[in-house]
Amino acid sequence: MSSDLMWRRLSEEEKIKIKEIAKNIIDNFSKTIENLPKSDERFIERDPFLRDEKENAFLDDLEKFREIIFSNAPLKKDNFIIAERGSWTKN
Amino acid sequence: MKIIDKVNLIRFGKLKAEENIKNFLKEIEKNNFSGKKINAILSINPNAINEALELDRRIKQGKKVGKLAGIGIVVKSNICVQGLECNCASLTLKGWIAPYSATVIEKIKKEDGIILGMANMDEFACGGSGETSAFGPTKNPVQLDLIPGGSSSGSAASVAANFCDISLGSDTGGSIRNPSSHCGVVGIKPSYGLVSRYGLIDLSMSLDQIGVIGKDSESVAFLLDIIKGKDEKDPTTYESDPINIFEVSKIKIGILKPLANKEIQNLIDNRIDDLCNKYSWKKEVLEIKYIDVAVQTYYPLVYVELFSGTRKFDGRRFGKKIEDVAGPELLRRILGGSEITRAEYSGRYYKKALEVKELIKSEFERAFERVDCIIIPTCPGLPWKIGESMRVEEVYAYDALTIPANLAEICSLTMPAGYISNIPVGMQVMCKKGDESKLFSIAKKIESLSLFL
Repeated sequence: MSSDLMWRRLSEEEKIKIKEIAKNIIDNFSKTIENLPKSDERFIERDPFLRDEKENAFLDDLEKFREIIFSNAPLKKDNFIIAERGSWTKN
Repeated sequence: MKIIDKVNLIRFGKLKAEENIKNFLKEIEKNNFSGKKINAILSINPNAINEALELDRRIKQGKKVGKLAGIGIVVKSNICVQGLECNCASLTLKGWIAPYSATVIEKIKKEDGIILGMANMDEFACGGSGETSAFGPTKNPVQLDLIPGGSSSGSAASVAANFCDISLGSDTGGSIRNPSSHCGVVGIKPSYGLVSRYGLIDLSMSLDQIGVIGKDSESVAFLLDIIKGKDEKDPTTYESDPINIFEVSKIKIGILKPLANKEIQNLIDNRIDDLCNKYSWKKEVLEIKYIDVAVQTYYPLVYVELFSGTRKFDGRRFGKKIEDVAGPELLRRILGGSEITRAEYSGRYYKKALEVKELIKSEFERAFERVDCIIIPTCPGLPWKIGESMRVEEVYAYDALTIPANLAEICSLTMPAGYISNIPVGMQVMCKKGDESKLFSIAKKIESLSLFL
Protein backbone atom coordinates (compact mmCIF):
# COMPACT_ATOMS: atom_id res chain seq x y z
CA MET A 1 0.00 0.00 0.00
CA SER A 2 1.41 3.43 -0.88
CA SER A 3 1.66 6.15 1.75
CA ASP A 4 -1.75 7.59 2.46
CA LEU A 5 -0.30 10.34 4.61
CA MET A 6 1.39 12.69 2.14
CA TRP A 7 -0.85 15.56 1.10
CA ARG A 8 -2.19 15.39 -2.43
CA ARG A 9 -5.24 16.58 -4.36
CA LEU A 10 -7.94 13.92 -4.23
CA SER A 11 -10.22 12.69 -6.99
CA GLU A 12 -13.92 12.09 -6.31
CA GLU A 13 -13.30 8.30 -6.46
CA GLU A 14 -10.56 8.61 -3.83
CA LYS A 15 -12.88 10.64 -1.60
CA ILE A 16 -15.50 7.88 -1.72
CA LYS A 17 -12.86 5.29 -0.84
CA ILE A 18 -11.57 7.43 2.03
CA LYS A 19 -15.11 7.70 3.41
CA GLU A 20 -15.46 3.90 3.42
CA ILE A 21 -12.10 3.46 5.17
CA ALA A 22 -12.98 6.12 7.74
CA LYS A 23 -16.29 4.44 8.52
CA ASN A 24 -14.61 1.06 8.91
CA ILE A 25 -11.94 2.45 11.24
CA ILE A 26 -14.41 4.26 13.44
CA ASP A 27 -16.80 1.28 13.53
CA ASN A 28 -13.98 -1.04 14.60
CA PHE A 29 -12.71 1.40 17.22
CA SER A 30 -16.16 2.02 18.63
CA LYS A 31 -16.97 -1.69 18.82
CA THR A 32 -13.81 -2.22 20.90
CA ILE A 33 -15.03 0.16 23.59
CA GLU A 34 -18.77 -0.50 23.30
CA ASN A 35 -18.98 -3.02 26.13
CA LEU A 36 -16.66 -1.35 28.64
CA PRO A 37 -18.26 -0.35 31.95
CA LYS A 38 -20.01 2.98 32.42
CA SER A 39 -18.20 5.78 34.20
CA ASP A 40 -19.63 7.13 37.48
CA GLU A 41 -18.16 10.54 36.80
CA ARG A 42 -20.26 13.49 35.72
CA PHE A 43 -19.00 14.92 32.47
CA ILE A 44 -18.90 18.65 33.08
CA GLU A 45 -18.40 20.55 36.29
CA ARG A 46 -17.62 24.22 35.97
CA ASP A 47 -18.05 27.31 38.09
CA PRO A 48 -20.58 29.60 36.42
CA PHE A 49 -19.16 32.90 35.21
CA LEU A 50 -19.88 35.59 32.68
CA ARG A 51 -17.34 36.84 30.19
CA ASP A 52 -16.36 40.47 30.58
CA GLU A 53 -17.15 42.03 27.19
CA LYS A 54 -16.12 45.61 28.01
CA GLU A 55 -12.68 45.41 26.39
CA ASN A 56 -12.53 45.48 22.63
CA ALA A 57 -8.94 46.35 21.86
CA PHE A 58 -9.46 44.79 18.45
CA LEU A 59 -11.42 47.85 17.32
CA ASP A 60 -9.06 50.39 18.91
CA ASP A 61 -6.84 50.54 15.87
CA LEU A 62 -9.38 50.88 13.06
CA GLU A 63 -6.71 51.37 10.40
CA LYS A 64 -5.06 48.05 11.37
CA PHE A 65 -8.47 46.36 11.51
CA ARG A 66 -9.27 47.65 8.02
CA GLU A 67 -5.89 46.49 6.66
CA ILE A 68 -6.37 42.94 8.00
CA ILE A 69 -9.97 42.62 6.83
CA PHE A 70 -8.97 43.83 3.37
CA SER A 71 -5.98 41.49 3.19
CA ASN A 72 -8.28 38.52 3.90
CA ALA A 73 -10.99 39.52 1.43
CA PRO A 74 -11.06 37.16 -1.56
CA LEU A 75 -12.44 39.82 -3.95
CA LYS A 76 -11.81 43.56 -3.71
CA LYS A 77 -11.79 46.62 -5.92
CA ASP A 78 -10.35 50.01 -4.97
CA ASN A 79 -11.76 50.77 -1.55
CA PHE A 80 -14.47 48.08 -1.50
CA ILE A 81 -14.77 44.42 -0.60
CA ILE A 82 -16.87 42.68 -3.22
CA ALA A 83 -19.46 40.37 -1.69
CA GLU A 84 -21.18 37.85 -3.90
CA ARG A 85 -24.52 37.06 -2.33
CA GLY A 86 -25.45 33.38 -2.24
CA SER A 87 -22.73 32.21 -4.64
CA TRP A 88 -22.40 28.96 -2.72
CA THR A 89 -26.00 28.00 -3.51
CA LYS A 90 -25.28 27.69 -7.25
CA ASN A 91 -23.88 24.13 -7.08
CA MET B 1 22.06 28.37 26.21
CA LYS B 2 19.10 28.52 28.57
CA ILE B 3 16.45 31.14 27.77
CA ILE B 4 16.85 32.89 31.10
CA ASP B 5 20.63 33.24 30.56
CA LYS B 6 20.12 34.67 27.09
CA VAL B 7 17.50 37.15 28.34
CA ASN B 8 20.02 38.36 30.92
CA LEU B 9 22.67 38.86 28.22
CA ILE B 10 20.20 40.90 26.18
CA ARG B 11 18.91 42.90 29.15
CA PHE B 12 22.45 43.89 30.18
CA GLY B 13 23.44 44.80 26.63
CA LYS B 14 25.92 41.94 26.19
CA LEU B 15 23.91 40.55 23.28
CA LYS B 16 21.77 42.66 20.99
CA ALA B 17 18.22 41.42 20.40
CA GLU B 18 18.77 42.38 16.77
CA GLU B 19 21.81 40.06 16.55
CA ASN B 20 19.88 37.19 18.14
CA ILE B 21 16.97 37.56 15.73
CA LYS B 22 19.19 38.10 12.66
CA ASN B 23 21.19 34.95 13.47
CA PHE B 24 18.00 32.88 13.48
CA LEU B 25 16.69 34.48 10.29
CA LYS B 26 20.03 33.78 8.59
CA GLU B 27 19.87 30.12 9.64
CA ILE B 28 16.26 29.85 8.44
CA GLU B 29 17.23 31.33 5.08
CA LYS B 30 20.20 28.98 4.87
CA ASN B 31 18.58 25.66 5.79
CA ASN B 32 14.81 26.03 5.78
CA PHE B 33 14.08 27.58 2.38
CA SER B 34 17.34 26.39 0.75
CA GLY B 35 20.31 24.20 1.73
CA LYS B 36 18.88 21.30 3.74
CA LYS B 37 15.33 22.50 2.87
CA ILE B 38 13.99 21.42 6.26
CA ASN B 39 10.65 23.16 5.55
CA ALA B 40 9.90 23.72 9.23
CA ILE B 41 8.94 27.38 8.74
CA LEU B 42 6.14 28.44 6.41
CA SER B 43 6.40 32.22 6.77
CA ILE B 44 8.60 34.80 8.46
CA ASN B 45 7.41 37.73 10.56
CA PRO B 46 8.45 40.71 8.41
CA ASN B 47 8.56 42.94 11.52
CA ALA B 48 10.85 40.69 13.59
CA ILE B 49 14.02 42.74 13.07
CA ASN B 50 12.23 46.06 13.66
CA GLU B 51 10.77 44.70 16.89
CA ALA B 52 14.28 43.65 17.98
CA LEU B 53 15.74 47.07 17.07
CA GLU B 54 13.01 48.80 19.07
CA LEU B 55 13.76 46.56 22.03
CA ASP B 56 17.50 47.33 21.81
CA ARG B 57 16.63 51.06 21.79
CA ARG B 58 14.56 50.66 24.94
CA ILE B 59 17.36 48.73 26.65
CA LYS B 60 19.87 51.45 25.69
CA GLN B 61 17.54 54.07 27.17
CA GLY B 62 17.50 52.10 30.42
CA LYS B 63 13.80 51.25 30.17
CA LYS B 64 12.36 48.15 31.78
CA VAL B 65 11.96 45.19 29.44
CA GLY B 66 10.02 41.93 29.75
CA LYS B 67 11.03 38.44 30.87
CA LEU B 68 11.38 37.25 27.26
CA ALA B 69 13.32 40.26 25.98
CA GLY B 70 14.68 39.47 22.51
CA ILE B 71 13.93 35.75 22.57
CA GLY B 72 13.08 34.35 19.13
CA ILE B 73 9.94 32.22 19.10
CA VAL B 74 8.41 30.12 16.34
CA VAL B 75 4.65 29.48 16.48
CA LYS B 76 2.65 26.55 15.10
CA SER B 77 0.42 27.66 12.23
CA ASN B 78 -2.81 26.93 14.13
CA ILE B 79 -2.15 29.62 16.77
CA CYS B 80 -3.28 33.10 15.73
CA VAL B 81 -0.66 35.85 15.60
CA GLN B 82 -2.24 39.13 14.50
CA GLY B 83 -1.01 40.15 11.06
CA LEU B 84 0.65 36.81 10.22
CA GLU B 85 -0.68 34.01 8.00
CA CYS B 86 -2.33 31.33 10.12
CA ASN B 87 -3.15 28.62 7.60
CA CYS B 88 -3.04 25.35 9.60
CA ALA B 89 -0.81 24.07 6.74
CA SER B 90 -3.96 23.77 4.63
CA LEU B 91 -5.13 25.27 1.33
CA THR B 92 -8.41 25.97 3.16
CA LEU B 93 -6.80 28.87 5.00
CA LYS B 94 -3.99 29.68 2.59
CA GLY B 95 -3.46 33.44 2.68
CA TRP B 96 -5.64 33.98 5.77
CA ILE B 97 -4.12 36.66 7.98
CA ALA B 98 -5.08 36.37 11.64
CA PRO B 99 -7.07 39.46 12.67
CA TYR B 100 -6.24 38.99 16.37
CA SER B 101 -3.65 37.26 18.55
CA ALA B 102 -4.18 34.21 20.73
CA THR B 103 -3.96 34.82 24.48
CA VAL B 104 -0.59 33.01 24.61
CA ILE B 105 0.80 35.38 21.94
CA GLU B 106 -0.47 38.45 23.81
CA LYS B 107 1.34 37.19 26.91
CA ILE B 108 4.57 36.56 24.98
CA LYS B 109 4.47 40.01 23.38
CA LYS B 110 3.80 41.65 26.72
CA GLU B 111 7.09 40.11 27.91
CA ASP B 112 8.95 41.32 24.78
CA GLY B 113 9.32 37.91 23.12
CA ILE B 114 9.74 38.18 19.35
CA ILE B 115 7.72 35.99 16.99
CA LEU B 116 10.09 34.85 14.24
CA GLY B 117 7.55 33.09 12.05
CA MET B 118 4.88 30.45 11.61
CA ALA B 119 5.76 26.76 11.66
CA ASN B 120 4.77 23.97 9.32
CA MET B 121 2.52 21.26 10.78
CA ASP B 122 0.29 18.38 9.81
CA GLU B 123 -2.80 19.73 8.04
CA PHE B 124 -5.20 21.02 10.72
CA ALA B 125 -3.07 19.00 13.21
CA CYS B 126 -4.33 15.76 11.62
CA GLY B 127 -1.29 13.50 11.58
CA GLY B 128 1.63 12.33 13.63
CA SER B 129 4.39 12.49 11.05
CA GLY B 130 4.61 16.01 9.61
CA GLU B 131 3.82 14.60 6.15
CA THR B 132 0.20 15.73 5.79
CA SER B 133 0.97 19.45 5.34
CA ALA B 134 -0.38 20.90 2.09
CA PHE B 135 2.92 22.80 1.86
CA GLY B 136 5.15 19.72 1.84
CA PRO B 137 6.53 17.55 4.63
CA THR B 138 8.97 18.83 7.24
CA LYS B 139 12.31 17.02 7.41
CA ASN B 140 13.83 15.77 10.65
CA PRO B 141 16.94 17.96 11.23
CA VAL B 142 18.70 15.02 12.93
CA GLN B 143 18.31 12.73 9.90
CA LEU B 144 16.89 14.50 6.89
CA ASP B 145 15.26 11.48 5.26
CA LEU B 146 13.16 10.72 8.36
CA ILE B 147 9.86 12.20 9.50
CA PRO B 148 10.18 14.70 12.36
CA GLY B 149 6.92 13.47 13.92
CA GLY B 150 3.81 15.57 14.27
CA SER B 151 1.58 17.30 14.27
CA SER B 152 3.81 20.10 15.65
CA SER B 153 6.47 19.02 13.15
CA GLY B 154 7.78 22.48 12.28
CA SER B 155 7.82 23.65 15.91
CA ALA B 156 10.01 20.72 17.04
CA ALA B 157 12.20 20.76 13.92
CA SER B 158 12.74 24.54 14.32
CA VAL B 159 14.18 24.04 17.79
CA ALA B 160 16.36 21.11 16.69
CA ALA B 161 17.60 23.01 13.60
CA ASN B 162 18.50 26.19 15.56
CA PHE B 163 15.88 28.29 13.79
CA CYS B 164 14.67 29.74 17.13
CA ASP B 165 15.24 29.82 20.87
CA ILE B 166 11.98 28.08 21.64
CA SER B 167 8.63 27.31 20.01
CA LEU B 168 4.92 26.83 20.63
CA GLY B 169 2.98 23.78 19.52
CA SER B 170 -0.34 22.19 20.35
CA ASP B 171 -0.93 18.68 21.65
CA THR B 172 -4.19 16.73 21.29
CA GLY B 173 -2.88 13.16 21.39
CA GLY B 174 0.89 13.61 21.38
CA SER B 175 1.43 16.36 18.81
CA ILE B 176 4.09 18.10 20.91
CA ARG B 177 5.70 15.06 22.55
CA ASN B 178 5.92 12.84 19.47
CA PRO B 179 7.93 15.31 17.29
CA SER B 180 9.98 16.46 20.28
CA SER B 181 10.97 12.83 20.87
CA HIS B 182 11.89 12.23 17.22
CA CYS B 183 13.86 15.51 16.97
CA GLY B 184 15.70 15.06 20.29
CA VAL B 185 14.28 18.07 22.14
CA VAL B 186 12.10 18.72 25.21
CA GLY B 187 8.36 19.24 24.85
CA ILE B 188 5.49 19.57 27.29
CA LYS B 189 1.78 18.94 27.05
CA PRO B 190 0.45 20.88 30.03
CA SER B 191 -2.50 19.77 32.13
CA TYR B 192 -5.83 20.40 30.39
CA GLY B 193 -6.94 23.93 31.28
CA LEU B 194 -3.53 25.25 32.37
CA VAL B 195 -3.05 27.27 29.17
CA SER B 196 -5.71 29.26 27.36
CA ARG B 197 -6.74 27.92 23.97
CA TYR B 198 -8.25 31.24 22.90
CA GLY B 199 -6.90 31.85 19.39
CA LEU B 200 -6.00 28.21 18.78
CA ILE B 201 -7.74 26.73 15.74
CA ASP B 202 -8.97 23.58 17.40
CA LEU B 203 -8.61 19.95 16.42
CA SER B 204 -10.51 18.49 19.36
CA MET B 205 -11.74 20.96 21.95
CA SER B 206 -11.91 18.50 24.83
CA LEU B 207 -8.28 17.39 24.41
CA ASP B 208 -6.25 20.26 22.85
CA GLN B 209 -3.58 22.09 24.84
CA ILE B 210 -0.99 24.64 23.72
CA GLY B 211 2.49 23.75 24.99
CA VAL B 212 6.17 24.56 24.64
CA ILE B 213 9.12 22.93 22.86
CA GLY B 214 12.72 23.83 23.75
CA LYS B 215 16.21 22.50 24.22
CA ASP B 216 16.08 22.06 28.01
CA SER B 217 13.37 21.60 30.61
CA GLU B 218 14.12 24.85 32.51
CA SER B 219 13.62 26.97 29.39
CA VAL B 220 10.39 25.12 28.61
CA ALA B 221 9.17 25.70 32.18
CA PHE B 222 10.14 29.38 31.93
CA LEU B 223 7.97 30.02 28.87
CA LEU B 224 5.13 27.82 30.12
CA ASP B 225 5.00 29.87 33.32
CA ILE B 226 4.50 33.00 31.21
CA ILE B 227 1.75 31.66 28.92
CA LYS B 228 -0.29 29.74 31.51
CA GLY B 229 -3.13 31.07 33.65
CA LYS B 230 -6.86 31.64 33.86
CA ASP B 231 -8.35 33.39 30.87
CA GLU B 232 -11.94 34.56 30.73
CA LYS B 233 -11.92 33.78 27.01
CA ASP B 234 -11.39 30.06 27.69
CA PRO B 235 -13.71 28.73 30.41
CA THR B 236 -11.69 25.52 30.84
CA THR B 237 -8.71 27.48 32.26
CA TYR B 238 -8.07 27.75 35.98
CA GLU B 239 -5.95 29.76 38.40
CA SER B 240 -2.56 28.14 39.05
CA ASP B 241 0.50 28.81 41.17
CA PRO B 242 3.76 29.85 39.50
CA ILE B 243 5.85 26.95 38.22
CA ASN B 244 8.52 26.43 40.81
CA ILE B 245 11.41 24.02 40.23
CA PHE B 246 12.46 22.55 43.58
CA GLU B 247 14.87 19.91 44.85
CA VAL B 248 13.16 16.53 44.74
CA SER B 249 14.11 13.49 46.75
CA LYS B 250 12.59 10.08 47.45
CA ILE B 251 10.70 9.95 44.20
CA LYS B 252 8.60 6.88 43.45
CA ILE B 253 8.38 6.17 39.73
CA GLY B 254 5.43 4.27 38.32
CA ILE B 255 6.28 1.99 35.42
CA LEU B 256 3.95 0.06 33.17
CA LYS B 257 4.24 -3.29 31.39
CA PRO B 258 6.40 -3.09 28.20
CA LEU B 259 4.74 -0.79 25.69
CA ALA B 260 7.31 -0.04 23.00
CA ASN B 261 9.54 -2.03 20.68
CA LYS B 262 12.21 -4.00 22.53
CA GLU B 263 15.14 -1.68 21.85
CA ILE B 264 13.27 1.45 22.93
CA GLN B 265 11.79 -0.26 25.99
CA ASN B 266 15.24 -1.50 27.07
CA LEU B 267 16.71 1.97 26.71
CA ILE B 268 13.97 3.54 28.85
CA ASP B 269 14.13 0.72 31.43
CA ASN B 270 17.90 1.25 31.72
CA ARG B 271 17.42 4.99 32.22
CA ILE B 272 14.89 4.35 34.99
CA ASP B 273 17.36 1.96 36.65
CA ASP B 274 20.08 4.64 36.35
CA LEU B 275 17.78 7.10 38.16
CA CYS B 276 16.95 4.61 40.89
CA ASN B 277 20.63 3.77 41.40
CA LYS B 278 21.92 7.34 41.32
CA TYR B 279 19.22 9.03 43.40
CA SER B 280 17.88 6.08 45.41
CA TRP B 281 14.46 6.58 43.81
CA LYS B 282 12.02 3.71 43.98
CA LYS B 283 9.98 2.17 41.19
CA GLU B 284 6.68 0.34 41.22
CA VAL B 285 4.97 -1.57 38.46
CA LEU B 286 1.46 -0.23 37.93
CA GLU B 287 -1.55 -1.52 36.10
CA ILE B 288 -3.63 1.16 34.46
CA LYS B 289 -6.82 -0.38 33.18
CA TYR B 290 -8.22 0.61 29.77
CA ILE B 291 -4.91 2.16 28.64
CA ASP B 292 -4.89 -0.47 25.89
CA VAL B 293 -8.04 1.08 24.38
CA ALA B 294 -6.76 4.67 24.52
CA VAL B 295 -6.37 4.88 20.72
CA GLN B 296 -9.86 3.43 20.14
CA THR B 297 -11.30 5.95 22.63
CA TYR B 298 -9.39 8.92 21.25
CA TYR B 299 -10.30 8.73 17.56
CA PRO B 300 -14.12 8.82 17.89
CA LEU B 301 -13.68 11.95 20.04
CA VAL B 302 -11.29 13.58 17.58
CA TYR B 303 -13.30 12.65 14.47
CA VAL B 304 -16.52 14.09 15.91
CA GLU B 305 -15.01 17.23 17.40
CA LEU B 306 -12.95 17.95 14.28
CA PHE B 307 -16.04 17.52 12.10
CA SER B 308 -17.96 19.90 14.33
CA GLY B 309 -15.11 22.43 14.56
CA THR B 310 -14.51 22.59 10.82
CA ARG B 311 -18.12 23.32 9.79
CA LYS B 312 -17.18 27.01 9.69
CA PHE B 313 -14.75 26.32 6.84
CA ASP B 314 -17.50 26.15 4.24
CA GLY B 315 -15.83 28.51 1.76
CA ARG B 316 -17.94 31.51 2.67
CA ARG B 317 -16.04 33.35 5.39
CA PHE B 318 -12.66 31.62 5.17
CA GLY B 319 -10.75 30.74 2.02
CA LYS B 320 -11.90 27.48 0.44
CA LYS B 321 -14.40 24.80 1.44
CA ILE B 322 -12.42 22.33 3.54
CA GLU B 323 -13.78 19.15 1.90
CA ASP B 324 -12.76 20.46 -1.53
CA VAL B 325 -9.06 20.93 -0.75
CA ALA B 326 -8.32 18.62 2.22
CA GLY B 327 -5.58 16.02 1.93
CA PRO B 328 -6.30 12.31 2.67
CA GLU B 329 -5.84 12.31 6.45
CA LEU B 330 -7.83 15.48 7.15
CA LEU B 331 -10.63 14.31 4.86
CA ARG B 332 -10.66 10.85 6.48
CA ARG B 333 -11.25 12.41 9.89
CA ILE B 334 -13.90 14.84 8.66
CA LEU B 335 -15.82 12.16 6.76
CA GLY B 336 -15.48 9.71 9.66
CA GLY B 337 -16.82 12.40 12.01
CA SER B 338 -19.65 13.19 9.64
CA GLU B 339 -20.58 9.51 9.55
CA ILE B 340 -20.79 8.92 13.30
CA THR B 341 -22.62 12.15 14.02
CA ARG B 342 -25.51 11.01 11.80
CA ALA B 343 -28.87 10.77 13.49
CA GLU B 344 -28.92 6.97 13.33
CA TYR B 345 -26.03 6.80 15.80
CA SER B 346 -27.62 9.45 18.09
CA GLY B 347 -24.23 10.30 19.58
CA ARG B 348 -23.77 6.73 20.86
CA TYR B 349 -20.11 6.33 19.88
CA TYR B 350 -19.12 9.80 21.00
CA LYS B 351 -20.82 9.46 24.39
CA LYS B 352 -19.26 6.05 24.91
CA ALA B 353 -15.81 7.43 24.11
CA LEU B 354 -16.36 10.26 26.61
CA GLU B 355 -17.28 7.67 29.25
CA VAL B 356 -14.15 5.62 28.62
CA LYS B 357 -12.11 8.84 28.76
CA GLU B 358 -13.46 9.34 32.29
CA LEU B 359 -12.56 5.74 33.22
CA ILE B 360 -8.98 6.27 32.04
CA LYS B 361 -8.81 9.58 33.91
CA SER B 362 -9.93 7.87 37.14
CA GLU B 363 -7.33 5.12 36.64
CA PHE B 364 -4.55 7.70 36.42
CA GLU B 365 -5.89 9.57 39.46
CA ARG B 366 -5.69 6.33 41.43
CA ALA B 367 -2.18 5.63 40.14
CA PHE B 368 -0.93 9.04 41.26
CA GLU B 369 -2.05 8.26 44.80
CA ARG B 370 0.72 5.62 44.82
CA VAL B 371 3.53 7.22 42.79
CA ASP B 372 5.00 10.68 42.11
CA CYS B 373 5.34 10.22 38.38
CA ILE B 374 4.96 7.64 35.65
CA ILE B 375 7.80 7.15 33.16
CA ILE B 376 7.27 5.37 29.85
CA PRO B 377 8.69 5.69 26.33
CA THR B 378 7.23 8.60 24.33
CA CYS B 379 6.80 6.64 21.10
CA PRO B 380 6.53 2.87 20.57
CA GLY B 381 8.85 2.94 17.54
CA LEU B 382 11.47 4.99 15.71
CA PRO B 383 10.51 7.56 13.06
CA TRP B 384 9.99 6.17 9.56
CA LYS B 385 11.27 7.50 6.23
CA ILE B 386 9.32 10.36 4.66
CA GLY B 387 6.85 8.92 2.14
CA GLU B 388 7.19 5.34 3.41
CA SER B 389 4.11 3.11 3.09
CA MET B 390 2.17 2.90 6.33
CA ARG B 391 -1.30 1.58 7.09
CA VAL B 392 -3.60 4.15 8.70
CA GLU B 393 -4.21 2.01 11.81
CA GLU B 394 -0.45 1.49 12.15
CA VAL B 395 0.10 5.27 12.11
CA TYR B 396 -2.68 5.83 14.66
CA ALA B 397 -1.05 3.25 16.95
CA TYR B 398 2.12 5.38 17.06
CA ASP B 399 0.27 7.73 19.42
CA ALA B 400 -0.73 4.94 21.80
CA LEU B 401 1.72 6.08 24.50
CA THR B 402 0.96 9.80 24.32
CA ILE B 403 -2.84 9.74 23.98
CA PRO B 404 -3.49 8.50 27.58
CA ALA B 405 -2.14 11.78 29.07
CA ASN B 406 -4.59 13.79 26.95
CA LEU B 407 -7.52 11.57 27.92
CA ALA B 408 -6.51 11.79 31.59
CA GLU B 409 -5.95 15.60 31.33
CA ILE B 410 -2.60 15.26 33.16
CA CYS B 411 0.72 16.99 32.41
CA SER B 412 3.31 15.09 30.43
CA LEU B 413 6.79 15.96 29.21
CA THR B 414 9.16 14.25 26.82
CA MET B 415 12.91 14.59 27.09
CA PRO B 416 15.83 12.98 25.27
CA ALA B 417 16.78 9.59 26.76
CA GLY B 418 19.43 8.50 24.29
CA TYR B 419 19.90 7.29 20.73
CA ILE B 420 19.21 4.11 18.77
CA SER B 421 21.00 3.98 15.39
CA ASN B 422 21.78 7.71 15.82
CA ILE B 423 18.05 8.49 16.07
CA PRO B 424 16.87 10.32 19.21
CA VAL B 425 14.57 8.44 21.58
CA GLY B 426 12.33 10.30 24.01
CA MET B 427 11.34 9.41 27.54
CA GLN B 428 7.91 10.53 28.73
CA VAL B 429 7.44 11.71 32.32
CA MET B 430 3.85 12.18 33.52
CA CYS B 431 2.53 13.76 36.71
CA LYS B 432 -0.97 14.35 37.99
CA LYS B 433 -3.13 17.20 36.74
CA GLY B 434 -1.79 20.58 37.84
CA ASP B 435 1.51 19.20 39.14
CA GLU B 436 3.77 20.90 36.57
CA SER B 437 6.17 22.10 39.29
CA LYS B 438 6.89 18.52 40.36
CA LEU B 439 7.12 17.41 36.72
CA PHE B 440 9.78 20.01 35.89
CA SER B 441 11.63 19.35 39.16
CA ILE B 442 11.89 15.66 38.27
CA ALA B 443 12.88 16.54 34.69
CA LYS B 444 15.68 18.81 35.90
CA LYS B 445 17.01 16.04 38.09
CA ILE B 446 16.89 13.63 35.15
CA GLU B 447 18.71 16.14 32.92
CA SER B 448 21.45 16.54 35.48
CA LEU B 449 22.30 12.89 34.96
CA SER B 450 24.57 13.76 32.06
CA LEU B 451 25.26 10.07 31.48
CA PHE B 452 22.04 10.06 29.46
CA LEU B 453 23.43 11.65 26.32
